[in-house]
Amino acid sequence: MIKAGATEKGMALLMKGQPFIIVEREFVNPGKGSAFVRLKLKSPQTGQVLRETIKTQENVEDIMLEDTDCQYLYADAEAFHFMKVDTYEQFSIPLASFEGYEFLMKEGEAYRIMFYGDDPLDIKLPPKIVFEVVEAESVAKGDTVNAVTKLVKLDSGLEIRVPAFIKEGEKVLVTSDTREYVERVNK
Amino acid sequence: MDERAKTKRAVAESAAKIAASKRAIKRAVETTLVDREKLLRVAQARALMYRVIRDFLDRRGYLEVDTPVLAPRLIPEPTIGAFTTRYEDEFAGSHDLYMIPSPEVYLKRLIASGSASIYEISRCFRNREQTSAYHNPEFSMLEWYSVGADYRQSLELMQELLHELVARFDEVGVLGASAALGAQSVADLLLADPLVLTMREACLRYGGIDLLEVQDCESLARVLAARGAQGVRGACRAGYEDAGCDARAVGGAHEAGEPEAAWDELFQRFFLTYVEPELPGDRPVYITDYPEQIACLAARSSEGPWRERWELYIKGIEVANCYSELVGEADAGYAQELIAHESELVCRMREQGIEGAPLPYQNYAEICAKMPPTSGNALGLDRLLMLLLGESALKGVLLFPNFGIVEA
Repeated sequence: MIKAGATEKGMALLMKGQPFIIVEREFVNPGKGSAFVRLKLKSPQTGQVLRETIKTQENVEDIMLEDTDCQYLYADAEAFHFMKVDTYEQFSIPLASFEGYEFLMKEGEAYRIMFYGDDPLDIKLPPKIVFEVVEAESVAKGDTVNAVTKLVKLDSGLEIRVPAFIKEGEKVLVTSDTREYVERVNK
Repeated sequence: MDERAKTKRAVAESAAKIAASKRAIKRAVETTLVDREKLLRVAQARALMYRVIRDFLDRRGYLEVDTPVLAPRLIPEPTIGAFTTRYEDEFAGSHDLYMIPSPEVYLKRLIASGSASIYEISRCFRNREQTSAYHNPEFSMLEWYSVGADYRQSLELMQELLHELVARFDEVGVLGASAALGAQSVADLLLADPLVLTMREACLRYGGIDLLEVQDCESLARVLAARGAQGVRGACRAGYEDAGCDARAVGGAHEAGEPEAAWDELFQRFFLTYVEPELPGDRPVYITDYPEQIACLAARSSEGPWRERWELYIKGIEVANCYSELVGEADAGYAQELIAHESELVCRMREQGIEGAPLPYQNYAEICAKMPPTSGNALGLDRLLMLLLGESALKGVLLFPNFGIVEA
């Protein structure tokens, strides 16, 4: 048991006897009211989404997860397919459970997956990932007001906003959490 | 690897990580400089915001005042944690002082003293608030008090101020671009016709319930439970069901381990889970006429179990909170009861040794009684600046978010 105030995004909780991952967590404190955490929880197996607002002082049941390194094989129309590195056992996780992860993971690379018993609950991504810019519109000179940022396409298919000086073929560091540009990578 | 070795490894890893992060924080606090470009942009934009506000209110005859940020007592509000400090005088005696959570405690005394309409741009402090995208324990607030006005007139003033800020920011080219706010531009967002709806309408439209039908804990708890909310305790404390003052004051209770839910807490859970996230994010939203059960110094409405109060939401973020103030001799008894109950709760917290429970101003109702009809508005300036600049978090407009602690 932990206090709801001590929860973090990515933590696993047992709700009505079922494991859920916290996918969004926000501290809310209405002007005239107690402090709450507003949680969005997801069950990776069923895709079920729960919304809960719990007082920071109330208890919630946190659960221990076990991590296993898994190789990301590919994604099809329904699921991400993985293989456990130590046992070669293959398994899949529904696409809907980790929306947009196909734009963040690279085939053939290993990711740490958190298991609750036999159930894969969470895919841990590195906090920052390097991508190559494959499509970038050029910005007209002198257009400094509107051209602070521009939209580019990365090699994974992800589209993000980057500073106007970023060119095609350059590498950029992107946060996996918010999918935002961090910096240019000079390598 | 067996279970024990795995656990051992995990524990050692996390201990090393904690130690490393502590070292990193210490180092960062001492040395991290502020990005010069951000420094200039943010400082200049804030200075402009303050100039516009002063200009706007001065022109309308409001007097800017300057009151202390330390106070020997605070208006009792059990849900707000105070920062406590201590005044030391080894000869005349020492006593605790509290950092104000809002300048209200002094400003209302000025109004009661006959100041007429006033405002202050003040530094405010709220303990136990988790630092997040929209929270910083220390923040800047504008409070204005319009003598002779009610909450509806304050709403119009708020809209005028928003428009003036956008115009002046635009004029000098510092109004945020659209990036952090999605496709819509900052100007389109802030200048859009506001959505003004009562809390009853909001709960009906976005939450599907009529507040008039769930005025007791049992029925509100049933609504929550039916939607799958966890751990809702149906039972209410005895005497809560009636709409008397007792009930309202109990609404402020939030002691840890409290076995039963209070109406206002059930309501907050409902509102925060099912209504607030659904509010439109493309224009200013004013929620008016809050449930009477939420204890505060706002006047009671003549049109139902509500208080004359509104909150301004922009992109789902609470930006301002306004009342028709609870004033005058006629309501003095009621105000006194309200404050007495809130004081009792704060005193109980003090007895329990709960950190941040300040000495309450038990006779503050005397000040309320001496105030002429007034509407007060409290506006979070850091959040407003964030919206004006198109930033998605407070750290984008604060020079030293989280007290300058930079986590490496």
